[in-house]
Amino acid sequence: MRWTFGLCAIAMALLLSTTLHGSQRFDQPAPGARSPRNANYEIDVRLEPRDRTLHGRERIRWRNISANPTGELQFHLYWNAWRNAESTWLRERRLGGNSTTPRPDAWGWSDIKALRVTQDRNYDLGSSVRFIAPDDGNTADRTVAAVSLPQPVPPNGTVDIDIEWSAKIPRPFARTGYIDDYYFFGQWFPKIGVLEDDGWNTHQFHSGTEFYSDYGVYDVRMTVPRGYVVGASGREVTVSDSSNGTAIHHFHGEDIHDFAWTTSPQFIVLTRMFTHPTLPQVQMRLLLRPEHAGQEARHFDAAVATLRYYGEWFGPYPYGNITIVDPAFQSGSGGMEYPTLFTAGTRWIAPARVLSPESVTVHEAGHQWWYGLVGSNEFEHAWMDEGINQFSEARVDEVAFGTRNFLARRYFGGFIPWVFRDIAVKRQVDEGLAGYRAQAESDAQATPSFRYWPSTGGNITYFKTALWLHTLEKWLGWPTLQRAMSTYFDAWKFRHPEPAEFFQQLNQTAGRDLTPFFDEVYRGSDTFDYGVQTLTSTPAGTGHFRTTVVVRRFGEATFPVDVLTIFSDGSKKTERWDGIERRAIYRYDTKVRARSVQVDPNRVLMLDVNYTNNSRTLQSRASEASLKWSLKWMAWLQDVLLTYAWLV
Amino acid sequence: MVASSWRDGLTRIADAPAVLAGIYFITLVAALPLATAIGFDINEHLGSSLTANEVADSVNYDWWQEFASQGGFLTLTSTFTPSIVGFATTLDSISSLLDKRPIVPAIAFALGFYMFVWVFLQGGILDRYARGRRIGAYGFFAASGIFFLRVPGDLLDAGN
Repeated sequence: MRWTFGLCAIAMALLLSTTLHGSQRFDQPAPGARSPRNANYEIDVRLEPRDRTLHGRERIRWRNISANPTGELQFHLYWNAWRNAESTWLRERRLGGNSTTPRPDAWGWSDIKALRVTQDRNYDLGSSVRFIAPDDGNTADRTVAAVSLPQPVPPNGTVDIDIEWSAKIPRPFARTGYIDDYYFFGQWFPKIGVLEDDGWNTHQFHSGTEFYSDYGVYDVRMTVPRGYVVGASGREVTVSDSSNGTAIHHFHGEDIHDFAWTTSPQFIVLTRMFTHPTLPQVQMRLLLRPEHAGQEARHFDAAVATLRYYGEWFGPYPYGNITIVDPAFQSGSGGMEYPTLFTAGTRWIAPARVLSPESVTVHEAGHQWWYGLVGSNEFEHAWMDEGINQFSEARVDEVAFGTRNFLARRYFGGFIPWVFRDIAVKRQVDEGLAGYRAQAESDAQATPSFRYWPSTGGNITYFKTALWLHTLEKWLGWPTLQRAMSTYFDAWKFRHPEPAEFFQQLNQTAGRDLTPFFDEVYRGSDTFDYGVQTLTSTPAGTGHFRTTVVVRRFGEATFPVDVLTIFSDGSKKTERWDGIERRAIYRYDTKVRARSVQVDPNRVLMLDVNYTNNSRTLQSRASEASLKWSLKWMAWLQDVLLTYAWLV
Repeated sequence: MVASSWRDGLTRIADAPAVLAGIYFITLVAALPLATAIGFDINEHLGSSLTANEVADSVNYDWWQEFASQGGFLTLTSTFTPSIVGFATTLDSISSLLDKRPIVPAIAFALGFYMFVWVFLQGGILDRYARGRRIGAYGFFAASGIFFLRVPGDLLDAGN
């Protein structure tokens, strides 16, 4: 049986290797490097705070690592998403329910002033830049530019591209922009798309998805007013003062696929070293807002927990440095990942028993693995970084901070927190079971992420993935899942994996074909809901009881579950139900009456959208419970009535 | 000055427990039907589950979220949040008003009923507290009626 599965797996792997969308034939690391380094940038950029603009020049040394020649180059100009109200990004945001009109000074854009390409000689192609909309044909969208080349670039061929551009900095959209003297720059430079074996993969900027780009070396010089602190991807090489009251900050990053930076005169700069017996040292640099002084230990501790647990579970963080940015209030730039730099997010009042800022710090630091090092295509398979990372983050939250993770609610515009000390946050809460439940059927995960319904994609991308990985953890065991994930990480770091590669690795490590499960959770949008339909236990002759248990599959999706019946003397009967038929019936003749029955008593299936119906007892206290909580609710309503009457 | 006024006010309120009891009774009348409805919803959702036993003894946030997502009678279950517990109730009520959070229609109906009764009775309540002595049901409701009829005019004057 095992060898049959092995043969099938090999056949499937061979099939996948020839049909996979998204592969790049020459994605092996460049000599002496960790990554292919096929998209390398030298950038000089100047910030003009007076008119909130950026002016830059860049040279991209790009190598075609696909199997085919290309006669065209494609670039992302992400900031054009806020150039006009009809961009795809703003259209989708409206579809998602946010119809707020940007204020007049909020708009941003990016204009290419010059574009030259060096092949056999230097060509000025600035006038031939055109805008394309490969996803929706929206002619008002200018987030993807294309230019035809005089000569095609062959596989493994290299071309130098020189671009001059100017950009208007938006007030914050999609975590980029300015507020007062705080600036955060993400997706700020003209960025080349990804050429795969079957063509360019350069999606427009969508409101619900993120990014995708090739690895390379970034050498960036940023000119900002003197006295401004700069944090950026990579490592700071030099800072030099200019004569006109500015300073040039030079950063250099290798084997990264993006470059973000921030600047403000208000940051407090703090550093701490991460050390570990078996993992490389990492220098952590925290740029903290003055109003959050005193919260540095919480940021560092969360980053340390991430570097430790992700490092132990999946693989070491290789860069040696990481920058944590505490974003300005109302900047909208919190909770975002970039290579070797991420934004966290905290509040002025941050109770110690609530995992804020820890959870966002762990999440964004965790993206260094699932996004930074394993460079999946976030436009198409956002779950491969957000979902896998949500699962990983929830696991770190539980292992590192589980004893002080309590529920809190914020009142008065979010300023005043209230901690519920009798509500410890369980992992499935961090994994967003409630969010998933609300929109479980909204989209199949296999749908390209940029085609998800804008307001519902998050629950499918983040939470459904976290929940099905948690289900796998309970089903296969953490050692197996951890081994699969670390093997996958090792095989696909500095590359662009597709979903099939992840599934293949899970199948291989588990030693079984999990395809039916992936069909349910990835390719389908059906919900899981198992429950108890009937429990009866009645006298049947002298000293015997006849117990009948009927369990039922209420949802369309299937999963094998246990059915546990407990009798009044404490004895137990466990049945294994494959969960495929609509119902299963179990009958027991025992000397004692049954007390209760549970479907999936160990809660393996974390995706079950209604766990309350999974059990039934013959001694229910539902009346007592409903009286207790309806009275509490009534007291709340009376309080609402009195408050409104008093204040209005 | 402020403290003595405060003390005087409290004394007047303490001297008229029937007013407090009456106000409580009116909130009860406004809230009880909805609380009964949500109680039925809770009972139905818990059924004969083992979860019911946990919920009877403690907070089960997992169940709580599951229940709140059900919709239930006039979407009341969406208001079944941790904010109904302890001091969070008070924070939630005031914050809800100041933050202009939308109100579920059924709650708005109860609120409308209560506000109407409150506006009607406030004249009688103020009169009772101002006099600092019993005024009897006739006096109370007479004052209520007089002030109630004045309120729309006063509001219009304030608006002008």
